[in-house]
Amino acid sequence: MRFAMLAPGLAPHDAVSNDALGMCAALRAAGHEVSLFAPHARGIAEPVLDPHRIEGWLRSADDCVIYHYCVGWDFALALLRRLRARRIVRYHNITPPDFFADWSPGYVAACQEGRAQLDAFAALGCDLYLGDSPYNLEDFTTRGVPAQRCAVLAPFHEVEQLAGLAPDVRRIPDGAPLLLMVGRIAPNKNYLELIDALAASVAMDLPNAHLLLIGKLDPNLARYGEALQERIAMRGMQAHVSWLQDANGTELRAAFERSRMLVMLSRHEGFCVPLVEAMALGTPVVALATAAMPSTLGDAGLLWPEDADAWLIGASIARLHADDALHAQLRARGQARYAAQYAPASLARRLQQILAEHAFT
Amino acid sequence: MKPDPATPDLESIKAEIRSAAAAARARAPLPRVDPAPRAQAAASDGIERERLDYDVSELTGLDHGAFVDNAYRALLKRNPDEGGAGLQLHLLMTGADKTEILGNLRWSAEGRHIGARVRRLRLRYVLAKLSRLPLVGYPVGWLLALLKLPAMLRDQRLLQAALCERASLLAMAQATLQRQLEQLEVAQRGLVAQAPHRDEQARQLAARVDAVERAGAELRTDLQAAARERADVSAAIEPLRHYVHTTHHWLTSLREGMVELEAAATREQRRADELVAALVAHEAAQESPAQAHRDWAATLAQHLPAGALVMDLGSGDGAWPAALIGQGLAVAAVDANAVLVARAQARGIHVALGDPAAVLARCADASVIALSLSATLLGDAVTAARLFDEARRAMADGAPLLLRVETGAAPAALVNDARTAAAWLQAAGFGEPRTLAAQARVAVLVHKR
Repeated sequence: MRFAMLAPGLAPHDAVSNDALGMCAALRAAGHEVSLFAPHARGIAEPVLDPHRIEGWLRSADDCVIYHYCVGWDFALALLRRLRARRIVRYHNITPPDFFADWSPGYVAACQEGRAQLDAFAALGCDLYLGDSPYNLEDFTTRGVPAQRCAVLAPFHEVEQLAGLAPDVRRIPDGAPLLLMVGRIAPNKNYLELIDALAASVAMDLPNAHLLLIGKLDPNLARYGEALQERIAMRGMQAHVSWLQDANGTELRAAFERSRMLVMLSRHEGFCVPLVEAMALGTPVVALATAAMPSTLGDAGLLWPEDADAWLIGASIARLHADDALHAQLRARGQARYAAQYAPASLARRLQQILAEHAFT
Repeated sequence: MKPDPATPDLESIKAEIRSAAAAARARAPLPRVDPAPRAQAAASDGIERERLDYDVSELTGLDHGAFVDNAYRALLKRNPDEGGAGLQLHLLMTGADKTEILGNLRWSAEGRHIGARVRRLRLRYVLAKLSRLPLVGYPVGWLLALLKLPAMLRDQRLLQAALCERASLLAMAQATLQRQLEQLEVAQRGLVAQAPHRDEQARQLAARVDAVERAGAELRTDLQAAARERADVSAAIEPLRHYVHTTHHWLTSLREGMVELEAAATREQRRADELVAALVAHEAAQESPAQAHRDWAATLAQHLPAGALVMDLGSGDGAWPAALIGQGLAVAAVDANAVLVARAQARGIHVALGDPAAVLARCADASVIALSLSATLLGDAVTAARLFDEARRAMADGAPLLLRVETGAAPAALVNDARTAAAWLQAAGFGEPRTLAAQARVAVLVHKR
């Protein structure tokens, strides 16, 4: 059976690209013939074909296209409409545009455009809607897609490669405790409240707390970056925050190893791969129970409702720093959850199981 | 299933965290530092975000990548993303009109949201799109071409004139190049003439290169040897580091052991002091020493001027110094037992806490005019001999020494009666002893000869 893996773009260390490449490897290991299709690709160690060739590449109606839906893309919608082969929509979610309303008209328009296609994809009646999380699938089930055509598969990732790297600590700051946040600098990641929580923890007998931010700032979100700097200054946290925009894998590895905890206050995540990285590398998590985060993290972290304020997060940080037994418990739970649900072998088994249940073999 | 008592209960921990947060929330608001007033920041990326009115000619003047960049920045108020720019350039390279690119951007979802006005664009965009439609597009294309015919003829004439000018410039450039070529040929002939000389220089250069390569090979050998030595040193350092760590660990353990021993010794000393104090109190309870002390003090006072300073070593609970003070004498009292010193302080007698033998050793020669010793200080023969030697050194000639033997079962069993005390004092070189007895207590008075 042939699988055409279609994505709007492929790049190294990108979550959607990692998922597409991981699925390719798992399907090939199961004996299928797989090829990647994308209009743009760089740094990918295998041939990536022009999406216009996809219909010629598929040989029969039993072959399958897996489309990684993460932005609005008219070409993909038109292709899936006219295609006679079997179709899987692999949905990674699209951030609601409201998050960007105060920061970037371009982002608002792009997110609106992407989410505007949800109705059209739901109406296509594809063979399978494969969400990263139960939260993601709600976008389709609320649009009338029957549950039996839906399945959850956590995204493939490169955590194992990350774990195998030698940590490079040269640019990793000290902190007592050192707090970590990983993710692009964007409004839905809630960096402003994260700074407030840091200020609260410093005020709660943690004068040496330090927050390490690892994430890039898109120039089109420069205003949000300025707002973040202003919030840091407003709370007097300049000496308590370090920001690495260009961290490589070895530095990310060192950051997880040195940090006492990952503090993830994001308001919208379709899955949140950094949580998986934290679980695998033994870094406990303090997070908000928003979007997909509860299903990703399970009981392996301190989860708070989304109305939790800075003081509650600050108190959680202080407690997790001081309580070694709690720290060890969350660390053990995270590692067990990773091994059971997110290890590559588990993901590959789950993919095979889903394909078998939906008669794709 | 019963919860594991060793495993923290998350819900109860969360309740404790909520309480801690509530307490912190009630204590103070989040810190807030008013930022310094900022100058109006100029847009660092050069995008005119406030400008929403353009003429199409402003946007079509540039070419290729510069045209696409400018269109994105004007119509979408951002720099082009990699994929988008690639797509627009692809359209340009496949013959699309610039107005079609501008229209695509202006009437995209993002462009509509921004809503920039581009004068004279709408009609051109519609016509460009119409010309791409099947069937309709062909006559529309013809119509557009017909309408543009006068302008196209003018462009053609302009092009012809420009080409002629370009041909003229090219002819001039060709003539210049021809002259340069001739000069080069002359230079080449000169070089050919110098070829033999160059060959000799090349041989010399080759010899130098050989020498440099040999030096390089030697340097590489030296570097390899240095690397081996470094590896050897690294290998030797590792056991040394291990030894240092082991020694450090041993010293740390030793220090901790010493601290424990010192603490135990302090406790033992305290216990011993308490025992001695209890014994003194017990004996005082059995028989009050007050009368004996008054008698001895009176006898001693007879040998001293009024207000003379008596050095009293082993003063105990202050009863004896009190008797001396009662006879109008001054007393410098010292005892090593912290419990007895505290008891003396409680009765208003100042007794210094310290080693009596050390105090005596610090006294200048012949500076003590009267000395009182407790027999409890004579723990053994060596101690007694040293103490009496020091006493003789420090005492003035003829000064009296009174040795008190008060505690029958005292830890110092070396001297526990008048006869032994007198023998020791005589052996130490003091004058004729005089025994001052009072029931169970006894004192011996001597003078330095």
